[in-house]
Amino acid sequence: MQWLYDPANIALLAKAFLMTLMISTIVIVGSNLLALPLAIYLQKPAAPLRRIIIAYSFFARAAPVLAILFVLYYGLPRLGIFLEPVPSAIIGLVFASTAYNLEFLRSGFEGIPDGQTDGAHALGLTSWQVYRKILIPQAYAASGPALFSNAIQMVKGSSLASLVAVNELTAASTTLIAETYRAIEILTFVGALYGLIAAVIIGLQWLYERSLGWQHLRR
Amino acid sequence: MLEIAFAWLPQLFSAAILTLALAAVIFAISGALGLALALLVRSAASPWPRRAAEGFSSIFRSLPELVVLFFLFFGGVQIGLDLGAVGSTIVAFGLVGIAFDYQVFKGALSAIPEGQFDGARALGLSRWRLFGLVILPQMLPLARKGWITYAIATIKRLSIASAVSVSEIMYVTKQAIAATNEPFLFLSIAIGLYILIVTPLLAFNERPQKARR
Repeated sequence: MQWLYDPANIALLAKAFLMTLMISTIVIVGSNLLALPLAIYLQKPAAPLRRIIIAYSFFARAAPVLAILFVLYYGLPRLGIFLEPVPSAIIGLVFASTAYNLEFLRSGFEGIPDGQTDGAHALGLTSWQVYRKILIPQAYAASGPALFSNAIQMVKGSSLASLVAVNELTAASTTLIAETYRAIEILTFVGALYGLIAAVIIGLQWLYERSLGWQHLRR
Repeated sequence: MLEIAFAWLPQLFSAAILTLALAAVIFAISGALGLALALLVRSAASPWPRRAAEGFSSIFRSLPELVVLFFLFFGGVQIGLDLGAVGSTIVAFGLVGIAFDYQVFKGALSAIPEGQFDGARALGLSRWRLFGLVILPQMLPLARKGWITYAIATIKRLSIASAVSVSEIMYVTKQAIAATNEPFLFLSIAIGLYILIVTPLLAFNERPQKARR
């Protein structure tokens, strides 16, 4: 474990860990913020952009994340658009992850009986109030487990950014391996850091489900 | 531009075959061992096999596949166990696959009423016949959706094997881009190949379901 006593290596890993945390946080928050309005929009059967959103969702879930990252990394410069590796990777990861969150929320909304909307309207609630007070909390309760495990998938997916020149945790581990040849120790250490982030997300899921008191899930 | 694409087509085609072959081997390993693990945990009297399986499963589900792959590829060499790029890919995705498939099969197994086990035992069925004739046929339809969802993710995630120079679709695509400077052409072909492979599975999984019972 001597490589770990070198301050330069610790600094490299700390910086890379923060980069992984930053990318993961932006991707998780961004993809959830984008998915909700899209899922609500798709609840209207006659929405004009419906086909486009469904086609996007299919494409983003059928194409590998790495291919999407490559399109931005190799493709954009050809169009004269020069993005730094980090924002380019974040855009690609958000593009890929939003589609999954959209599908989870969509099936969350579709699981709610129509009678609830009708009843709420009959009580004089506006459409905005119906969504805010009745539908959105139930859709989140139903799709919560899927959204949380997708958040872990996004943390894991951030490792793909290492293949498009982003110095995050996985990239730092390959740099250190090339210098020290201590692959097993370094990757165990880095793996534990990823496990730590996953554990925090699982903890948040536990808190969220406890705050629901489970009563929404037991329908 | 078309000529450039045609020149690379044979290589892209064999890359797609390699992706499919790797996926098939990985699905077989992770499906069989994930199922065996779920059955073992279920039939064990002591809680330790379950604790060990859950520990294994949570570790390999929270690690990025790329880290597991590097661990086998670089770490194997460090201890004198050279798996090679393809071997490391199969073992890495196999381990992650077992971790996921174990959860899929565990869930399906838990959905089977206890009475089915008791009834089969009361009829005097041996353990093998109990699983083969009674439990397995009821489990597989329940496990199918989760299993296919994970299979789709695996086929796409195999693209990271390009990082240890396995010549699957993304690796050949990267080479083609480097040689021709036509990123959009080759990335379109690559994504097209993935869509071709994945669409039947996605369509099968998302087909409208008849209401059960």
